[in-house]
Amino acid sequence: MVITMALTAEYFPMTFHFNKKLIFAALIASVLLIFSSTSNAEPYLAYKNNLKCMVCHVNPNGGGLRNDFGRIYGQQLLPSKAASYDTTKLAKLTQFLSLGADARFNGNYRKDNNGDNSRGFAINSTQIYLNIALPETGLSFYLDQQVAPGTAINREAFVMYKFAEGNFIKAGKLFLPYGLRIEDDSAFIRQATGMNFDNSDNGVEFALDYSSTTINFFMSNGTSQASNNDNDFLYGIRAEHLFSHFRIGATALLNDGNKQVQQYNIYGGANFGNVTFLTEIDYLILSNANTFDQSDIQQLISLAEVNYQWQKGLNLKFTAEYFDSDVDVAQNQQTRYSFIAEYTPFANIQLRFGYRKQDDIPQKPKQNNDLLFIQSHFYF
Amino acid sequence: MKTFIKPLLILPVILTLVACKAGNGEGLNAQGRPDSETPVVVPPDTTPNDPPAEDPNKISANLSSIQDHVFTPICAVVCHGGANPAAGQDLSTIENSIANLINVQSSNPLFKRVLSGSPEQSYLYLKVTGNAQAGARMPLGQPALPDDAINAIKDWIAQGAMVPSNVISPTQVSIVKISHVKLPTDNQQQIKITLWFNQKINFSTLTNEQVLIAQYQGEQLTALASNNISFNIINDHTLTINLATSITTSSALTAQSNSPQKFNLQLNNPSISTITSISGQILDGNNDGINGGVFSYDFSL
Repeated sequence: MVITMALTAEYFPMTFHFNKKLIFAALIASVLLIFSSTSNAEPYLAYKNNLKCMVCHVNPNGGGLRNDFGRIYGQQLLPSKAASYDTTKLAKLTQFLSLGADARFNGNYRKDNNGDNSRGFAINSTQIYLNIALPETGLSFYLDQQVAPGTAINREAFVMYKFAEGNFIKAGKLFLPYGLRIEDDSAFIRQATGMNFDNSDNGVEFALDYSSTTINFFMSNGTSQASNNDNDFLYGIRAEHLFSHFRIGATALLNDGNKQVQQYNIYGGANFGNVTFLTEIDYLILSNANTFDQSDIQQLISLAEVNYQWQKGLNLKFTAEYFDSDVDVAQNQQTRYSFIAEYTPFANIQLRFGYRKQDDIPQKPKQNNDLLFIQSHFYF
Repeated sequence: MKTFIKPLLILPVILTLVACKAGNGEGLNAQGRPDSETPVVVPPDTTPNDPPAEDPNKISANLSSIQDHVFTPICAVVCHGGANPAAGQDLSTIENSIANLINVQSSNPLFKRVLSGSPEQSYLYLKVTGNAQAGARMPLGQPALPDDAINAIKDWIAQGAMVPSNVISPTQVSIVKISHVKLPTDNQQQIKITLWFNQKINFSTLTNEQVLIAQYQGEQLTALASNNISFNIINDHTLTINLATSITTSSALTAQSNSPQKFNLQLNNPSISTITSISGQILDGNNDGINGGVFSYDFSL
């Protein structure tokens, strides 16, 4: 951050007015972050409006820093009461340098089948984003840094080059494009596939972007680590097409490590007025993963989500999830059901109230639990 | 009417998923695997570093117990196992837990995931206790671990994060390649010895003094200066030892300058210090299947 600003100062004329703006922006961001908590995406909004993720986000695959339209959407269209101010002036420090943040703060009450209760407040996650777009080059640098809880952890840091026709190439630390990038990082489709906000990877991605179709090709270390530990790589392709009221996509991935993993999914969604529907089904083949006899394990994971916009600023969400950790083993499945009300009274703050019921086999009483939560989500 | 009917089209999908129920667990063990896959309990006398718990249903401060009660059934069941283990940290087997935890750098540059002897400096412990330095508390999105599990992890780390001796094969080393080149400087040559270890090695346990290279003069050995030795770590398993030495000096030690120079390499001499793997296992230098022992190798150039 300091280096970036120093570079900015060197290459862009910085007036006193700009300095004040910069300091003010940093102060405001810091204060807001203290009170709030996951730079997670809300793909149902893209499905509801039948738009690509890149319409609202700087990162074409969605999530993280919002662009001008994304900010306006979050201020004017999402909340119950539209904002009378424009945070673009705060977020766009210059024409080429923009900031953003997401912060979620949770209060939880949980009861499991052992009869144990737990309750408490916690910062879920807080991210700060920075994007430097060099003028007239198509070149940009994007940073997604988790700053709380705990010490700073880099989630994404990549250089992106956008070709004139909209295709792009990214290199660095990335969230790989895989299925639905939903907000709930603890969902089975996010955790069992390893494609979640806690698991970015180092690699490159190339995308062909047409008006209604996007095809991503990617290659990474496949270890979720800074360096490759087995000389083999992860290769993948994702394709997505938008129709008039629905979209459908598919991902295929090969993690060619010491124990080869193949992952396939189909996903999609549709919008009918105030009702938006999302779904994803994943099929995983884990080679030699059975530690008992070294046989392969096949897993099946699915999610279905229905969103109903009751009124402007109030969305009701029902999610059903299913996870079969080994399709060859009977009676080992897990399920999760969630009901969540998302209320955005005014711009830049969303309150979420939810109930989640997770069921596993009786031998795992801790995995059988009920969760009530309330969450404040500050977005900027 | 039309807009009312359309959403109904998605109902079958929702109903199908809602109809899915969690398994009833019949015929499965506590890890959710078939009873037929329940591992055989290793007798106590075969695991001197890791005695099993008195009551197998209660967790105790050893890795096997922690693996059975925490890592396998809770951590690995969704996140730290399977396709892409979160943070590359596969905890699905005891071997994976050893390889991915002990002395492995965490995502926070200040901490190892498990630093033997120091729970408060171990990211694993900070994570399961919800310490603010470690970010989101683990297990993510799950109830916090019970106190007895947290205490078992703490005590296991504090007691040195010992690993069951029956779990891993001995750490052994072999010679991959030996070469030597004459340096542009008069009468100087460089000897390169490439070693391969069958386990990931903690190369910080290797020092110049640890490596003894000596030249034969008849039956007698004359040590070469250790300050001319340098290391090139290729990867966690592979190391090249570079030795710069004088040809005249070394040749003078041989009876005839044209005859091959004969050397001896020694590693892991317990009277100096020993080399350990990243999981803390001492190198089995003499390949007798027991940890420890001097690795000694003769070679000619």
